[in-house]
Amino acid sequence: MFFSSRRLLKSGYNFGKLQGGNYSGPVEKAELPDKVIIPLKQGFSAETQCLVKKGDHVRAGQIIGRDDHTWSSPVHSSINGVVEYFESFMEGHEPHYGVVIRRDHKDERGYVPIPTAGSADKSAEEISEILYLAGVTALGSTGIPSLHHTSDLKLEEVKGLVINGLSGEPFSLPQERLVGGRVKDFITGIKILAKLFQLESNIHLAFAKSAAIAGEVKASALKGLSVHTFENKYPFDMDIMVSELVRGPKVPDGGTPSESGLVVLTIQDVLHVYEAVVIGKPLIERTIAVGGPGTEQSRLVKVAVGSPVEWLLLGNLKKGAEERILVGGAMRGVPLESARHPVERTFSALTLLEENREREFLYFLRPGFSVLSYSREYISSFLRSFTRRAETNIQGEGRACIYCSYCEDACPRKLVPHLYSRYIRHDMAEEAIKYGLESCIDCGLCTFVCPSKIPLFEDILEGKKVLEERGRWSHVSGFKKLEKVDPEASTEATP
Amino acid sequence: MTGFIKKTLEATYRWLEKSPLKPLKPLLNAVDGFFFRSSDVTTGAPHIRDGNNLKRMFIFVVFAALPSAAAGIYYFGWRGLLLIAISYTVGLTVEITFAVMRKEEISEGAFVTCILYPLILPPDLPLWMVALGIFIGVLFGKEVFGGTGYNVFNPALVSRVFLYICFPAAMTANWVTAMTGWGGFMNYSGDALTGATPLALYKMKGELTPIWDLFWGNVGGSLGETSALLVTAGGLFLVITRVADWRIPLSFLGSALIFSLIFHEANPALFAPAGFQLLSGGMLFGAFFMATDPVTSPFTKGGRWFFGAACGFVTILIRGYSGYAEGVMFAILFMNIFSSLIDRIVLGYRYRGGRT
Repeated sequence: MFFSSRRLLKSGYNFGKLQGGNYSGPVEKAELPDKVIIPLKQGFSAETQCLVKKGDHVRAGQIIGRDDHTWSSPVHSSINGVVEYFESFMEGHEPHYGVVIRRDHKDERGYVPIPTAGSADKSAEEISEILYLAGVTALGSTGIPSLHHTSDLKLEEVKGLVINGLSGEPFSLPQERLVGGRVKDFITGIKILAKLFQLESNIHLAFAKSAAIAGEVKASALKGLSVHTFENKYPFDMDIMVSELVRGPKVPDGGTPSESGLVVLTIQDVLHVYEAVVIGKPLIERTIAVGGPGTEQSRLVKVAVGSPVEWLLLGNLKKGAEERILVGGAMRGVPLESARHPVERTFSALTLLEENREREFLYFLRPGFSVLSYSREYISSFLRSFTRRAETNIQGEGRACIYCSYCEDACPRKLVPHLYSRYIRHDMAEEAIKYGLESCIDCGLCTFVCPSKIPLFEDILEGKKVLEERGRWSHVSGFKKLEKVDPEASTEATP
Repeated sequence: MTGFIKKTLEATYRWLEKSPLKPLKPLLNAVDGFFFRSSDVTTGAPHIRDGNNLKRMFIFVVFAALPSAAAGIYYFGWRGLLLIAISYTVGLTVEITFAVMRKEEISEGAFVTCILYPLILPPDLPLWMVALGIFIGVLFGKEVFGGTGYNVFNPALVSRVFLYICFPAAMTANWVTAMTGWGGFMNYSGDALTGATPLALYKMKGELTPIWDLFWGNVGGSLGETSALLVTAGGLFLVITRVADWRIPLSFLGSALIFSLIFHEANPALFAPAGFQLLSGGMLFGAFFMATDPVTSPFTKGGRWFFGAACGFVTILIRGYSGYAEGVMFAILFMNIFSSLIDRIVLGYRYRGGRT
């Protein structure tokens, strides 16, 4: 289903000022940890082949994992040190391996530069090779296309570039902060990417309306670049939403932006491109937002890839609170099982939430100066200046759906989540397709707003799983493509 | 204080586990849930939740109805309080009984039904009729369908329509003259006044009640619906807090205004003037409190516009052509039937791309 751009702009939800979400301080540089764990698989890619063995001395920026035959980008050591041992950790049900490197106290911040890099004036082939060697091609939700096998898109299939500077999700990294003082580098980064993808136009940049830097970037007047500003609402910062916002709704239902030839990168990713090509710096450092109500102070930290998360959080945890550590924001973040997990190069935010198990007295009668609510039943809804509190507590009892249609109002795709939930619970998931289930982008706002506390998003995921098993839907190709298979053509093929 | 309540509840839980009254656990859960919020936390994405909940939503409807209730008691005597008390006693008993029978939690929906129902009754209605009405309404209007969220008709209106059909004389004759001065706060009940709500007066004698009387509410009528000012205030409260969708009252009153303007122009003998129509009877109360019930109205935006507009239109028709003086109740119940159908049509149109 397609919407007008105006309707898209009206959708979504602005979470406002959140407790623990104020990243106004400078970007701090984290100390190097004594040892780092470099996972051989990071983000979406396949596991790379390990190139080092126990006892090897490695230097920061040295490639320690590389596999040109699988969907992956090289992995680097982020410090100078000695390979101590290999550690396995679980991701879902599959074990993955990480190289544990102990730091020797020499040449602390230096790194091995990429040999061919050094200036912005490179050919597309050279840029592709440099980005691959720097590991930068692993960035973005499905990688940056290059001459190597790094993304689900081939280099010649790229039709546009979208740079996402929005951060509507609670506690996500405020991307526009990273451009401050580095506009020139940033623009150079875009130029490099444009050359790599052979793009003359169709380069879009989305900023939050509040971002002061937008004007400065606009003033650079780079050819082919169009700068857009949007209200900082969730889920505008999701890849699919931002690409629809800047180009109009052209992504097929249930598909990903890459299906229509779009590469979606964040501002930080572009800066990494600049650093790799012009300075020759491999992807061994990452700026991460560490915030949320579970922290003493929300911070922006530049940290070596592979540092344990607990190293990053040292001294910043709220005392006496039961914490939940999320990779990403508070809406779609993935919980970390252990704080010993290393920071991966694809991380951009760590959100710490408290488990609010406290049984508040007469909670439904509170005036609500700090209650976070989509409805306007609390005072905080009327005065923007209140700092709201993001709570993990369900804040109510599970009840039957009363068709208040809050989920419908909040849904960025204007779907009817409560209807899908009902169909899926009655094992009629096919019916839900009739009413647009395949356009769902998994933002989870429906569950967030539901006053009956129905886990709508869980139900929808369950329904998609059921449909996938029955061959009625596929997340990669979207629903439409499966439907278009001509039944007669297939009978012809069978003898 | 909170510590004492907590301890008492814990002790009661322990006692209930061993006692033969164990099936009454939903009742205790409801009391516990009233005082303290649950300790449940989210288990997956999204990790944070909205502070809104059904308790909050429904208590807000009760709050919004309180000004109208106060007006009713002021104008018609504190017998009104008795009506509300009976409504709550009987209605909640039915709700609790069914929750215990179904082994489910007690839903807060009954609290709304039980405050709205007495407000649409004649103030002098015999008390046993009040009890019978809410019993039938909650039982057959809601519980037999499966409880709050599954009902087809607005239970408060089901209660009223049951009484209206079974006891037409009692339901159309027990009006009370509105009191002034210290009013009903000092009196049990006002003087009886037969057959003289503003709408009935117009129907029988073609007599128009002054607009300002309708605005303040010192006219004959149901307990909580006479004061246009306070009903609107409560209604706006619901709309502003987003408990009720603004589309329904707007389209309801808008269409009533337009059609009464047209029909009054065409046939002034049958149709009262627009301003009078809007402020008299249950028009405002119905538009703000009854038609906005999310369970029994359509959930699609387009559906809500149509639902409200149709309610307004049908009300004007019934008021004009039928033998009844008032048509709001019938109009809303009539449109409740079509809620699902309207949604189906709207969704069918929205997803007309034809994917099956």
